[in-house]
Amino acid sequence: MSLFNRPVRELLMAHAEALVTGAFSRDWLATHYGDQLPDQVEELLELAERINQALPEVSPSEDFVANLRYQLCEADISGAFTLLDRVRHLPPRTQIAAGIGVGGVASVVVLYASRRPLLDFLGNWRSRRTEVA
Amino acid sequence: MTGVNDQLARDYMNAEDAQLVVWAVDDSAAFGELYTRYVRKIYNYVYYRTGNHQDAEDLTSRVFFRALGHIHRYTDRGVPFSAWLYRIAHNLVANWHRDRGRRTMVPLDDYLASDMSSAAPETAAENLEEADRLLESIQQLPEDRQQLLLLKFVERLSNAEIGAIMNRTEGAIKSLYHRTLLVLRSNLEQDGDSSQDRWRRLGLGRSNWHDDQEDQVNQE
Repeated sequence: MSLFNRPVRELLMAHAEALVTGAFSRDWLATHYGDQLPDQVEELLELAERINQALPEVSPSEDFVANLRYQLCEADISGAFTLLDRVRHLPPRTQIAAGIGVGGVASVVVLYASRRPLLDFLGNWRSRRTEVA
Repeated sequence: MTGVNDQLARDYMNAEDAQLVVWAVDDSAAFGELYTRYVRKIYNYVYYRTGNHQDAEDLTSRVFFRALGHIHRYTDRGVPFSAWLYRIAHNLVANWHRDRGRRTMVPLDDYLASDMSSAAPETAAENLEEADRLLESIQQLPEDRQQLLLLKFVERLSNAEIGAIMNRTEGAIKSLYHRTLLVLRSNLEQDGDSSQDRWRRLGLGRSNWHDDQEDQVNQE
């Protein structure tokens, strides 16, 4: 496929992908983009290859990795989480079921608590209508 | 807290990140597995942003302690756990730079010594110098462009993963990469009196085409 069928940015990113995955070679370039690339594009490709070489992976010391893991696993963060935080991490179905359950219980309690005032109100209203009639 | 029986039943090594995050709210072993998966990646990212191992260790510790302290607030709304970690790292590094008020150079001799050891002394020194200049130019780029280069070439992430971390589309990532190479090339040319020599040493020729290309990208 010719370079001119693809924007330069696509070529550059495909080249970067090939570099970091180890798939890049001159053959790869020729296969995907033909033998003749504009010099300016070649220069950017070479710059990318230099960047890739200049940024090798580094490793932290094994002592550091082990010590930090120990500290993290020993850290007491249990008090940091509220009940709401824990509910947020439940699966959605469980959250819905819990919401319906809590809502139902709350409704029953409210109805029960307001039963006497409600009955009184209805009684008063009924007696007032009877007086008017 | 999670019981011992629950922990024994959990297959941490084969669990996905999302599942480990749920467990990690009250299970330190689950967080330990997440830590094992990402500590080296986060360390690499921080190392190249700070330039030395001591600060990289300090900031990496802070990243994971912050993640541990806030993991109950993390919810996967299209941002994977790894991207969330990189965002924490990015913010802490940005604060670190702000507090110090300057940018630190990466001491190349620390990590390139092994690569150069097989080359002849003169060649090795020249390569080291070239790589040093290139890194210096990278560190003078705006933060987002540095971040892109590190995520691509050090962390070797896909464009989709980089997009999730940087909160951009894949198309935007491609455009940013193109612009970054053009600007980096331009900076390398302008930096110093002997830019022509430097480009020759880097194996790159000189041309003025980058201005046209930058315009073209901006039009896209």
